[in-house]
Amino acid sequence: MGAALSGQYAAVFGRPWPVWGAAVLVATVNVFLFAFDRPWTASDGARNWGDWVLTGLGLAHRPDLVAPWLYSGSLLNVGVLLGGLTAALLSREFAIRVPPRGEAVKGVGGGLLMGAGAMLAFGCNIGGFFSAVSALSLSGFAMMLGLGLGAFLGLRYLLWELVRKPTWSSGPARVYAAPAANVPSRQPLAGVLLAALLLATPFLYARTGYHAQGIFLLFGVVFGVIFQRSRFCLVRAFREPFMTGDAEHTRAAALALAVSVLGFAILKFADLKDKGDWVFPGAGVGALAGGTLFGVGMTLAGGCGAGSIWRAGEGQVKLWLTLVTFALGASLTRLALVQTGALQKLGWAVFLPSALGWGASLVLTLAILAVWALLATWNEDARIVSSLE
Amino acid sequence: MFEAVSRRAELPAGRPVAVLCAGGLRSSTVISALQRHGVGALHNVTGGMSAWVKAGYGVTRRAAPPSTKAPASTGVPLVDCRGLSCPWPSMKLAKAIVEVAPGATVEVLATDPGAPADVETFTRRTGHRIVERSESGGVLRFVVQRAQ
Repeated sequence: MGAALSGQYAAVFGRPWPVWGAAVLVATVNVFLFAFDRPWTASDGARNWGDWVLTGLGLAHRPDLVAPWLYSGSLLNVGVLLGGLTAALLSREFAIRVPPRGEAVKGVGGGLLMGAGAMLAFGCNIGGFFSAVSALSLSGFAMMLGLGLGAFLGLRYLLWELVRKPTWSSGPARVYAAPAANVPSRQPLAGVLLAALLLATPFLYARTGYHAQGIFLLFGVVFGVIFQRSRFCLVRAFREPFMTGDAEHTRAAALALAVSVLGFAILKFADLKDKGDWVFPGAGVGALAGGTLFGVGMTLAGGCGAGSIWRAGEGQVKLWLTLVTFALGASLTRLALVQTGALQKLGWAVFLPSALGWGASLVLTLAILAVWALLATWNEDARIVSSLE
Repeated sequence: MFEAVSRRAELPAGRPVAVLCAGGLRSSTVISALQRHGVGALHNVTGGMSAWVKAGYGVTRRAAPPSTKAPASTGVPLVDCRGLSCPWPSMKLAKAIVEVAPGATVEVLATDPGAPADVETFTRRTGHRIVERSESGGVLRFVVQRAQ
């Protein structure tokens, strides 16, 4: 019994989860989340944090602002962070990792670009791309092009820095609170306690009259755990074909999108959800430019909208900095877009089935995803665009 | 160096002192620092321990303690990715591995829990081989051998 338990524990928290399995899980949970209320995005919650800070400092005026501890987007993010922390503790991978200075600068700059890009594209790579494509919004496909271009440009920059400015990615680094060698770590115990506390939050929230809030938090926790254990990564899906040429994460992302698209389509087709849900008026310059900025930013930061949050949870200080500037950048960009009136000029809101019909939209979407995965897989052997070989 | 300066009172007075390091460079900077603090009669051991070993004399080594610090120069190039996030481990490894001879090794240190996936993907794609891996105090260590 004890041997079986420790064997299962090692399978779940000792070894990484298969990437494709994690991708299907993420997509499925995202469909459940949409059915429950709204799909996943990271930038919405990050903007809520930024707005809250700026309002607190008296720099912005948002009478309609919902407090971060009650707002769905913010709670999803907090959940992802705590989920990443819980999974890292349970697998003895938590440590506070302080980066060299040049690396911290890239975290800060990457976060700013991500904040600005996410507001132009009406969402980060999760909300503006993953969930928007799932919702059959044309803007999601435009952002996909931008993200690909941005990841390519960001990687060109990193390769330039590697050769020309090697000191910008070296210097003293520090590690705190890592499990010591030869001593049983207390991290799993802390992880179990944290998991129990998180499971109790829906009941604690319900006692104060807020019934959905704790559930949003738990959805986030589930995302955080899946991502931390599998390290399934959308930055990698876009960047890796240009780098080592490996296409595993690209195939996984395409598979996740296919599952999520079908799930969202069922919810919308059956009128369980509004057809216009998560269809953004960004199809045009907004999603293209926003996707490009975001793509550069996530490549510099080493984590996308979601990846920055769960990596922050496992103790990567660089991504703490990214989260701060991501939130502030999003908040300030949105403010500027509203005040200049540019928000209305970012593109069109096109729900694909309204333009092409349901059948053609689904066939076209699945075909685009298949071509994406096939091109990346073909490049694995052909080695056309990969640069690190 | 700072330790040498702060403990200069322990030096035997009135006798010549030889300062020794691995190559002779650090010992000369220690000598300059000590001289600025008024310590005289210092001799630099030019060439250091590496000249000693090169000349064929024997050495006994203390077993290396488990440490989060980079191991002292063992001749294997060190790819230091501590504190760096993805994709630096594979990028820095890619740059370093082509600078050693086929069959020679480089050592990678990293703190990102994503580094194993990075290094594994890179070596799988390029034919280089991970010949050794360990973990200590949150620092992951890989020894990668360049493909023949």
